[in-house]
Amino acid sequence: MLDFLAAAIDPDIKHHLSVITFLPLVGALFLAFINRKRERELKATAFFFSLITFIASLPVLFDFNVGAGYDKRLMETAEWIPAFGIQYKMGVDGISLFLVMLTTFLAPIIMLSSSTTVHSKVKEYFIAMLVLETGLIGSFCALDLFLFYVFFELMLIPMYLLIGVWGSDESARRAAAIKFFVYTLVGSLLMFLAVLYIAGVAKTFDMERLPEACAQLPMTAQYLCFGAFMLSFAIKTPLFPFHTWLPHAHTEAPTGGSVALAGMMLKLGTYGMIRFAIPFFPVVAYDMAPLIMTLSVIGIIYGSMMCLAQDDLKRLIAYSSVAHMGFIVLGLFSFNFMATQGALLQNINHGLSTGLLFLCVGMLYERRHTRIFAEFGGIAKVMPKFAVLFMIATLASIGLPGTNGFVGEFLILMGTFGGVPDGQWTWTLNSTMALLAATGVVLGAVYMLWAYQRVFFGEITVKENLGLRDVNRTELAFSVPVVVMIFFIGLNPNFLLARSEPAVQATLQRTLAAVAEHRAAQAAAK
Amino acid sequence: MRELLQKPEFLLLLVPLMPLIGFLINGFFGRRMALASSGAVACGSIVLSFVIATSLFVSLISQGQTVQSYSFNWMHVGALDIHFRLLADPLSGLLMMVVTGVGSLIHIYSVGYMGHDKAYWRFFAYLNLFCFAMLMLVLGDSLVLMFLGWEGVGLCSYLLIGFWYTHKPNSDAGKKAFVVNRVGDFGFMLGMFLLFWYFGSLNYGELAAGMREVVQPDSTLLNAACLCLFVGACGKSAQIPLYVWLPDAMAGPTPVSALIHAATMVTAGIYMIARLNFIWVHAETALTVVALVGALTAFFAGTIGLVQRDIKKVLAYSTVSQLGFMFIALGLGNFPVAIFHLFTHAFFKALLFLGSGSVIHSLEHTLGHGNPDSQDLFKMGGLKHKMPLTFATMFVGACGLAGIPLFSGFFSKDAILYAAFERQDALGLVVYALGLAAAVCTAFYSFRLIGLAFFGKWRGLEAAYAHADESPRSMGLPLFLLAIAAFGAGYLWLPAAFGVHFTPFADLLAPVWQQGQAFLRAAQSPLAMPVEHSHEAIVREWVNMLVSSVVAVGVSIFAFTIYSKPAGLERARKLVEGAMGAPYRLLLNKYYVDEIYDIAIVRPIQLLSDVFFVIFDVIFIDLMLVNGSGLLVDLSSKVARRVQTGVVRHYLFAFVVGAALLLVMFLAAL
Repeated sequence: MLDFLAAAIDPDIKHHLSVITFLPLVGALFLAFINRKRERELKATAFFFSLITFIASLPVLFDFNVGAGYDKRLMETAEWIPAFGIQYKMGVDGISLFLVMLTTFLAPIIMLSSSTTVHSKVKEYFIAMLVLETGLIGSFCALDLFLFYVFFELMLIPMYLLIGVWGSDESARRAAAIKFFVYTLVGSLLMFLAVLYIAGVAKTFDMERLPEACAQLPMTAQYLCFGAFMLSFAIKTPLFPFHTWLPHAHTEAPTGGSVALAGMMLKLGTYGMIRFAIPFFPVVAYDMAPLIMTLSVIGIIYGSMMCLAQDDLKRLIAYSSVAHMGFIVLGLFSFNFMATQGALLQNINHGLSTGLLFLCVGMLYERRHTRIFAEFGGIAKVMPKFAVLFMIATLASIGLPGTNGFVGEFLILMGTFGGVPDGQWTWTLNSTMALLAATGVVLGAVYMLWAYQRVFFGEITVKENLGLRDVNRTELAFSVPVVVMIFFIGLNPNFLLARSEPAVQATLQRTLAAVAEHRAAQAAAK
Repeated sequence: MRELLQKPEFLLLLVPLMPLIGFLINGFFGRRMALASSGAVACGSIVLSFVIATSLFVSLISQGQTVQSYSFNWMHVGALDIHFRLLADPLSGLLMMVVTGVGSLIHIYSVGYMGHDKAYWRFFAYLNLFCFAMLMLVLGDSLVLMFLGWEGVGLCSYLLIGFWYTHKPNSDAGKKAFVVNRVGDFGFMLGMFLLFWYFGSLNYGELAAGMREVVQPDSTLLNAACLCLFVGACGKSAQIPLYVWLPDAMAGPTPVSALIHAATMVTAGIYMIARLNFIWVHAETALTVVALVGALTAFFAGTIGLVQRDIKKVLAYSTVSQLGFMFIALGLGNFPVAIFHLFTHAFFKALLFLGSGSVIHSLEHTLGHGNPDSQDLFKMGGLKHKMPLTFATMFVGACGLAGIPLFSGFFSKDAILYAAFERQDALGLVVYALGLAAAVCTAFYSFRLIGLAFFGKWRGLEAAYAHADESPRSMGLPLFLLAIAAFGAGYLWLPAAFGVHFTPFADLLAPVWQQGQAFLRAAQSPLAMPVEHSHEAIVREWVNMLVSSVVAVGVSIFAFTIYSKPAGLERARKLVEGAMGAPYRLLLNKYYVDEIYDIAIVRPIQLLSDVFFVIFDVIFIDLMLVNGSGLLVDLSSKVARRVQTGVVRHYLFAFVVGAALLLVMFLAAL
């Protein structure tokens, strides 16, 4: 059935990545021709296009050739601007595969949830969403640095509009959108300078060839370029102390925007680290790891503490993202295989569990038009199914074994604790980092259960809450798939781990080999 | 299918799966199911699980074979290879029997006890889920699987403590239990990390194989790993300093207190240490810590239990205290004795809780649900006439708890005190003294409870006494069966001093300790368990037994005479309110530990969070960034201007993005 569909869409599977990248954009064009008053059709079309994008992406997952490099069959190369060595080059490997899948999986969910939560400028909203999806899939698939940058910037504008136009509060959303825009732009402009520099020296934008070229750069240049890349991704992730745009953006964004932000866009930051920053500049990355790990750990603890100071449910979840993303960056910069695998897995997990949390907040907001804790309490009584849904998201978020969150956190912490494998294990800086990060597991339980208690337990004190209706069918339809994935990954993480293993192994080996080589060269110079 | 059902590899999987299926049925359909079918699904699934467990256990005993279930790979990353695989050896098999057996009785009891609750199905769903998680904890063949069960039972405990969630203290207690346990789990995880990086595995079998190569009797790393794991045990098994959640956990329905907070979950820490005994024997320092913490907790909690008015709080502190006894045994290296006390305690403490539940249930008829008076010992009295079965069974339970000779607790607790006595060093002396003092407390509060509840004059609301009645048969039967077990369980391991060699309990478990003991004997460590009993040892055992018997019986009678008579109660009250006012208030307020934690930990963290939030988010961002946004824009425009240096590539890029966007926006406006 799937093969048949795949064959119908793309007979020789060769252009599959292009198909799934641009299908949403085609959908956006379609929407442009539909009368803005026909909201039902607009919503249905947007949902339809995101759904077929998802279906079309399934063969990518199931036919994926597990290997260390990019899957050759899925690779597409075409000349684009030969004068500058710019290509249209797309491909996936074990590192990007599940990010592409996460994006295509969440997109229909976002469309469906938005169909009940978006009431104004419906047409533009869904166009922006679909453009965003194209930008995201493209970013994860692009194997040409210039192409990547085009897709990367393509996302920025729809997201800015999603926050600024469809956000909740009139004045606050503007400020939040501008903050988001300026922050991200500053980062990406610096990165663009670095991109131009390294591409200029290497005479290519081809990401498969760039690591070699970058190794030839003088160390100062490597440090500067790494800094530029890393700053851009640290803002996107966000890594402490570049996180301050996130709570505002998340809190003001519409539900769909928050899910897209948490579920897909933040992932681009951590993806960029493992795809660009680390392999392009392994020596610098290794050198800077203590600093970056320290920032991650601060992010975990600080983010958790911020959660304890919130009176707004949505902002609490936004801050929890800072803590969760801290775990991922920690894992990536520990240069331990297990931790890196865990970090990639946690990247997906965070998208699912935080995505579900934002979907749940959206359901509450839709009913009560507030997110302040004081307005809730005792909701479990009137919305029992919703209470279960939220509980599952909470448990995944605090990493209860059996849910996906546990596997990710456990692998990251245990891997980081082990440090860089080098004979007999000894206590290293990494172990200290893991020890400190593990306190985040305790704090996570504190703030999430506290939040849960304030919303769901106790007597109903606000009379508007008495008549709240429980989740409806549409809401179940878009949240149950996420719940299924939470348990699927929690119980069978090997499905993901096995597919990313060779790619992670190879990346890590290259990095460590480069570091060792550099050390040896230094020693020889002395 | 029939063939499959004869395979132990498959049957073992069914043991935890049955309650999981029960949970799923009640969880998904319970709301629409009739009360009777909800209860039947829950009880049926756990009883079935018990039947299967029994058949496995019988073949385990008769053939002496451990059973490994079919497995499924859970996580595979590098050297880490974790399977969903269950393992029934003598130790986990025994615990499996306790969990499913006591679990079945408590499920049946709950049919009556929870009969009036609107969320009947939800209760049973949680209870079934708990049994599943507990069985995973016990039967899992690796530490990671144990951790799955470990956190799973924590979740169920959280859900069941806060079962009546509309009442804030209940959900507070649930949250406290979860968070305090998470602190413990933090230690558990670190312990796992250390063991993994040392041995490259977390599977019991592979860890044991790895241990064979370790020769040091007291390795730093293993001590560290064991102490980390012990932090986890302190959380789950409510030891100092993490015991504070257990007394609060009494907010949950009483069957929950019996099953989770007395018989099974709280003993997980003891099980974990016994399970890893082959590692612990290499961690002498850690064992010493365990013994001391256990002894301190046993004594400390015992003293608090002396003055509690709430019948469930008395039992809660008694549980903390008895768990301390088990840790004493572990710390002294006498693992089987710890498991023996775990075993007998499961029966008599479950019995006492269910009995108190029976009392509460009958008083709540009149006093109303959740009325604290229905648990207040000072507002009870003379109930033995109204509830003869409850009285008789609870009396047996109290005798077991107090360690009255020939009741089960006597055998197991005596064995622990004797182990300390035999140690004959400073540690042994300290532990023995604290243990004996704790035993005095135990005997006192046990019979204080019996005297206050069942003897003397009724001191509460008249109407409540008039309507008090024996509980229904579904509650009576479990009480009766548990009473038999609470009396008889001790006879499975008779002391050597009796002269009759009857030790099936110890024999069953012997293979579990083999590796560790072989190492200790080779190293001639004092921790090794004695194999033969010399004549002097037998004499010492008699002396010890005599001392603890006299103490137990004497103190019990003393407490009983005071509290079973109105005059005695009055005199005791006057005494504690007058001359002994200060220590009484100290105990009544549980040494103010909750208050100290609140001031020393909870409030500072909250305050710090609020301060950080204000400094960073309000001052740093709003004042510096938003008010300074003009500056920021200026800065970014400077950056932007720098980019526009005539680089064609950038213009090209801007053109492409701009054009694409304009196109879409243009079309959108149509």
